[in-house]
Order: sequence, then C-alpha cells, then structure tokens
Amino acid sequence: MDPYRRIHQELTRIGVTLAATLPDDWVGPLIGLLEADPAIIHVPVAREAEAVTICSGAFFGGVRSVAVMGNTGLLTCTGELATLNLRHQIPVFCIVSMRGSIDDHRVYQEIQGRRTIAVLDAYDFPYHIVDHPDEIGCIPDAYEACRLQKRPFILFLTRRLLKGRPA
Amino acid sequence: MKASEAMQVLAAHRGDAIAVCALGMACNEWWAATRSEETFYLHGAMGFAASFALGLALALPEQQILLINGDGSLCMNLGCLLTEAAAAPKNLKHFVIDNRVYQTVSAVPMVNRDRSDYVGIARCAGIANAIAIDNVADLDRLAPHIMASDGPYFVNLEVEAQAAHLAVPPNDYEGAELKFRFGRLLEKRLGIKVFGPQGY
Repeated sequence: MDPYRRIHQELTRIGVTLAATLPDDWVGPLIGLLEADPAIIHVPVAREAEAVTICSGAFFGGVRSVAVMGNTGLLTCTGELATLNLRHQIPVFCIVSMRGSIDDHRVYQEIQGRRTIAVLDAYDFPYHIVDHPDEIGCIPDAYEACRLQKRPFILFLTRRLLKGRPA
Repeated sequence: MKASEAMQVLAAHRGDAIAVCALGMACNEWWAATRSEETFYLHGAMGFAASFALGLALALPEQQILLINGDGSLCMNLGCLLTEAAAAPKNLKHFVIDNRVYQTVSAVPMVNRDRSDYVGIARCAGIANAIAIDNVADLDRLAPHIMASDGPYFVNLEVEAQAAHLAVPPNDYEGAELKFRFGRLLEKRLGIKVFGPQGY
C-alpha cells in the first residue's frame, strides 16, 4: 500500500472526520484521498492559517480533524498557532511535508529546510518526523500526544517516505 | 448606529445560537452586551475568527453559529469569504462590525476605507446572501429573517466610530479557562464530547 493510503487509513482509524487542506506537491495525493472520502468533511482553504483555525473551531464541536499543508505554509501560520492555539491551549494536528531536506533539490525550499525546526523549537511546538512507511503506524500516538499536550503538533512527512530516493 | 446598540439587538434575536467573536471590538462589545459564556472570544489570531466559526459550524451542522467579526479582522483574511462560500454552511451567520477604523488602537483609519465595499466583496466571493445594515430599526426588523434563513449569510453592520470604546477585553476569564468553560458548556448543552476521559 502506498504511504498516502496508509496515512489516510490511520486517520480514519482514529476517527478523523474533518480535514482542512492547502496543497504542496508532496501532500497533494493525500489531499485527493481525503477529498474522495465521503466520511470526511474536506475543507479546501485559501491560506494555511485558515486550516489550523478551522480545525480549532471543529475541536469544540467534538470533531477530530487534521490540517494538511506544505512546510512553507506551516511557517506562514506560526502567529495564529501561537496566539490562538498556545494562548487557549487548543490542540491542532498538522500533517506537513518536510520540504528543504537534503534530498529536496528545490532552491525555494532551502530556508524552510534549514529554519523550520528552529522555529518550532522556539514556539515549543512538538513534532515527529515520519521517514519510512513502517513508521506511519505512529499516527494514533502522535494524535493522542497532540491532544495531551494541548498545542499544535506537527507530523512531518519526508521525501524519502513520499517519493523515494531523489533522481 | 453604535456598535453597542447593534450588539444589543443581535443578542435579543440570537435564540439558542452559539457565538464566536473576533478579538477587539467584537469581543469587547458582545461581552459587554451579553456576558455570554456560550461564546468563544478569540484573544488572538486576528483575521481568523471567521475560520474558527466555520470549523465550529461544520462540526455542529444542526447548531446555529453567529460570527461577530470586525472590519479589521475581515480585511486581514478576506480569503475566508471564499472558503465560507465554498463550504456553504447553512448554520453560519457572519456579522461584521464595520466602523472603518482600528477602534482599539486609537481609531487609526482602515485601509481604502472610502472606497471599499465589504458586501460587494462577499457577494463576489460567492456568498449570495450579503447585505448592509446601518440602523437599529432595520437590524431589529431583519434579524428574524436572517436568523431563519439558510447560511452562509453575511451582514455588514455599519456602525459609528466611537470615542469612548471598550479598549480591552472586559471578560473576567481568558486563555485556557476560556477554552475549558466553553468546551464544557457545549458538552453539557449539546451532549457531545469535546474532551477525553482524562480531561484533555
């Protein structure tokens, strides 16, 4: 089974029924699976901070949700994650492509690769990196950790996981 | 129309609606008018009360949700109107307190305030039900229709900029307490589970 289907399967298993998304090319296939799933309310957004705040509102409706985006988008919404989710201790589970890694040879992803973890550490946002298909089974634990820690939690998906070795 | 008057009228017509307020004037005036704990008061994420309210509305499709937004917040995230139009939640009513200034920071004028048309922007984003109201009598007359109509419904409340405004959140609780009080209230009222068996 490809990693996107495994991730979708794990999200379904833990009861996620709402996904707010804005694509980059690495997470696009996952967004396609979420869109095609009639059991999931899929909310395409115009800006990543909408995704995290939609998920935050859904939390209070008792709905389990996920925000899906690229690494660049994550950096654009750190202010909202801090002033809403840290401020009010609202968990939000984010699945994010880990762009800018050594095997991602896109010049416009370079800064994201070098500085994202430092930014997350500065905000004290927990994260976990999934680098191999065998690790996708961590999603239920990661989701529970997000709820327990009452703050944004970033589940990074690497290039090796999603696309294999670079050409 | 003063913002406080508009809030009084909305409060009288809210029925059993749950409310979401943007930080600043919206939070301050709604709390002053209602002391409502059936409301989530965003004390951050300026621009994104609309997205928060959309998520709540999608999660609780049988529950009327009122969004009290501010014009400064709306302008910070105009894209929310596209997302709201696409998701088309029937239970979401989006009110904007439009005083054309950033009221809580010395009434600095809003960008392009003499030419902008928020109702026009909402309609062009795809929200067919979008109107402006500039007086208490019309708001009182139209509110029952707005509340009974399918959303999304966008209502621009044209209010006066005020010299004596509520500058700081007047709530006597905030932050994590606001989260837990609001969540527990929804659990009790709606019979849903927001928090898990260990309380988080």
